[in-house]
Amino acid sequence: MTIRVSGLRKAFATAGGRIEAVAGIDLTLHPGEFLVLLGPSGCGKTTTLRCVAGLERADEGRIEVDGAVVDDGDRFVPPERRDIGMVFQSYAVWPHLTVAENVALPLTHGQRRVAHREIAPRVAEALALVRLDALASRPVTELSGGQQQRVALARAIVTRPKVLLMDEPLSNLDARLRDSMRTELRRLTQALGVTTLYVTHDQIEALSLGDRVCVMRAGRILQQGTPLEVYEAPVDTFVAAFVGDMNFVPGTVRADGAVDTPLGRVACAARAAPGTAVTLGMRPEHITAEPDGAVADSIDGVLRARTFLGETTALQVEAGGLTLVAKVRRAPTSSVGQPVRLHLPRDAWRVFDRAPAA
Amino acid sequence: MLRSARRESPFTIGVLALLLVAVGGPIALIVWMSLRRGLPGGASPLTLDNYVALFRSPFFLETLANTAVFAMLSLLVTFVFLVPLTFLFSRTDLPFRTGFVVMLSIVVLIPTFLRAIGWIMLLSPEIGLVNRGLMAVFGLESAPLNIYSMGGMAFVQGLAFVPAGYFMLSAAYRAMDPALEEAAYTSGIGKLTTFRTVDVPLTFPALLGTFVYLAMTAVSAFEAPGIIGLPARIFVLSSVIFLDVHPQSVGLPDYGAAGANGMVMLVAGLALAVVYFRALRAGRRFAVLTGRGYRPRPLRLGRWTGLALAFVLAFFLMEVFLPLGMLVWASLTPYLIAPSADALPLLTLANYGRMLTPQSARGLANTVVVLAIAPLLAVAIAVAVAWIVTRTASRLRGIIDVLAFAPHAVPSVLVAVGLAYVALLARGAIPLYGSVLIIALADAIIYLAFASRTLNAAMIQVHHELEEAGRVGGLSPLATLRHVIVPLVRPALLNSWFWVALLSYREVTMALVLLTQFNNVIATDIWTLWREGEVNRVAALGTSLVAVMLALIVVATLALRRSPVSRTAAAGAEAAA
Repeated sequence: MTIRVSGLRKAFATAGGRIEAVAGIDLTLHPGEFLVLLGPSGCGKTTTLRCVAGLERADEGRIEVDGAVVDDGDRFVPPERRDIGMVFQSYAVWPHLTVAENVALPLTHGQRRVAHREIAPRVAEALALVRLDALASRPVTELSGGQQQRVALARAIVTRPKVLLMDEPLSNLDARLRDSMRTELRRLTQALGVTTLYVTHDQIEALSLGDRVCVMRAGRILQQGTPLEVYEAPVDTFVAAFVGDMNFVPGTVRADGAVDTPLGRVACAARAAPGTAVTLGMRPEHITAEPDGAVADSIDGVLRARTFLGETTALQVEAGGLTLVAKVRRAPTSSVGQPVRLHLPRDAWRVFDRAPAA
Repeated sequence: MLRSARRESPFTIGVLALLLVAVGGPIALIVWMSLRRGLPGGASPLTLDNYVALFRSPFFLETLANTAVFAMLSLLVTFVFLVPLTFLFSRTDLPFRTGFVVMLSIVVLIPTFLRAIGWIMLLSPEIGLVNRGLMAVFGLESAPLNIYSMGGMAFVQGLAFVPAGYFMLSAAYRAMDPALEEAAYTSGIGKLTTFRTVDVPLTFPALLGTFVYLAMTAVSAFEAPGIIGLPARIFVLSSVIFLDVHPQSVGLPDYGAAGANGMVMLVAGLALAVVYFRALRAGRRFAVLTGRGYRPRPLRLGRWTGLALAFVLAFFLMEVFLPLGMLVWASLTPYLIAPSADALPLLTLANYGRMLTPQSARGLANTVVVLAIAPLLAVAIAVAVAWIVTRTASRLRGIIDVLAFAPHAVPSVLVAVGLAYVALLARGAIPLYGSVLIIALADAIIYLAFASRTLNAAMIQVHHELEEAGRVGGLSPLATLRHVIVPLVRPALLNSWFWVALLSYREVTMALVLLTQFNNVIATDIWTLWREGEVNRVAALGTSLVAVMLALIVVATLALRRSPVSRTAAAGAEAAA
């Protein structure tokens, strides 16, 4: 099942005037793919998802599911006639029904209803998949948040949709539950082979779940790629900062490709004309704290703070008038206020145009 | 190019059309009839004759002055009781205050005309028992108190407004953030000073809002002016309109005059509505609503408890026990006689035995028909309205919301006159005029405001994702409404159905305006019997009406497992005013 979104635009009238939530988006989901829309709140990711669901009508553009147009201005297929399942941020389980009744309703009264004798086995199958078979006859309001979320998931897959849409499904869960649900979601979608569009503002979810990640901002897609590509080769400082922490250093490109910065000359290979203002970026985990002694690509600074994080230790180091953050496995012996030497490997620098958006 | 994403659905347009006809129609017809002479459907040019005649009549200014004095005097009575009661019930540790509030929510349903009848039995110069007692005790020549006066009318009406006023005002008190008071306490300001300098100014918009709202109601109230004012020949706008369409002596109904008077009433109501919305806006500016579910510690009454209880009991005595007790007593006696040990052997159930006549049997049957139709119609339309208003992005939802709420502000006497007019116009095509159906229709229109407000409030609490989960689960909009939304708002649905039924059951103003030969209901039967001087049979019928109502409330409260003082009851109390 391929989903193709092209030229999608959607604006809302608010008290403060018209706001363009989605400002031209092109997107293709391949069969069985898990695609994550990642971005801050208000970036248009949920609106995009809701347009695919048919809960919003596009202002412009076209949405195709499996080659059939579901929204292009003339044609509009309402959500109940699209072959989709959806999990909502609020779970949206129906509080007047039991667990099994919640899961059964799409089969009994929906467009994709099935023969009466098939209902019970289908509901049981869906509940077994989310490991809730034991609670089938419970009122859904007696369940915990995590269990309600699984009811919502079972309800979304019980019709065996070709497409699963998820709108920040884990954001209302506590951290521990979120981790285990994330693993379970991955297992489930792979087992079902369902094409999944997943919306989140949490970069860990995006990087760990997605086959592909689209980073969005202000109604546009800034970058799409595998989690590794997006993390290792962000196209700009916004993407870089959104998918993880990054230290930014302003600089000017020299004739030999190196960059002059407040930290000194950085021997990275900037592919820009000499004299161009650029921003260099390095992720904190690429920095190591070196013992004294002259090593290439090292700088000296003063340790301003250290935070023990368990596996790593976060250091704040002041150097060249900047504050750099490093996440190191082996913490230096220096205490706060003492000098410390950092190793900034030249290969780990990313070079961005000087438009530090974030 | 943006395409128009919001094509209005036929359903939305249908609901809008229905509301325009049902709610806008009667009002438009008031305007129309005020510009025509003669009977509905007769040939008449558009003319201002009705207005000219009205404004030239010396009677008009008197009516206008009477209406204003009646409204102001009634509100004076109301607020003398209302403000202390609201304070006592919502801010102090007065014993039994919860029970008192429950009582308020029930007595609000006792129709004003029955209270008026009870008071006449107590205070009329001829038959009033209190008057006769006072004359006997003090050897007076004439009756010292006269209910048949402006004061008597305002007294009865004013008392009848208190419960509705309480529910409006207490909402503002309850919504007030106690931190505002506590900030005053911690600044070293005493409790009474705090009440005076913080509570009263903060709730002033609510006080003003309640005042203006009740003033709007008082300007169009008919029951006390009808029962007390008509025999006393003290006319207000509502009773003049009633007489225009129901001439007491021989004569044809004068819809032109009713229309002109109705326009005057509408303009007065509109002017008050402007003040009302100003008051509401001022209230919002203070923004005392914080929504924190925290109850302030009530003020301790201490040695004032006795006095406060005496005040509350005196109020309830006048509000319900005296007039209703009188009604019950009179229903058990063969003629009007003061309660005493000597009178006990005379007690009889004969009045109840004589209740059932062919006339009253038809009244009963008609009432059942009204109760079968009106609440169902009002709630069904209200569901559609609430769904459109709270659940769709339709551009028409604003106007639909306003239209559904409009009957709240439109005097019921005018809706009835407008309906009568349209029924007369269409009597060749639809046999509506003089049928019980038109009364049910009038009730449904007038109580739609209440039902849609209740359902709006309930539906807005249903998270939109619950509905969307139905749609992506494959349920059509109608299936989603039926299997998801309606079950979720069922308590509000049942509650508003029940309250509309109760309100329709005791409604008399519109039923009287629309009354012809065969569409009498129980309430109009009581009225008619009263005009015929059947005091004791009126008492029996009135007592039965109230008893059945109380029984229904008890049954419904048990069935719905809800305190009668729910939000529905509070909203219903306003509709009952």
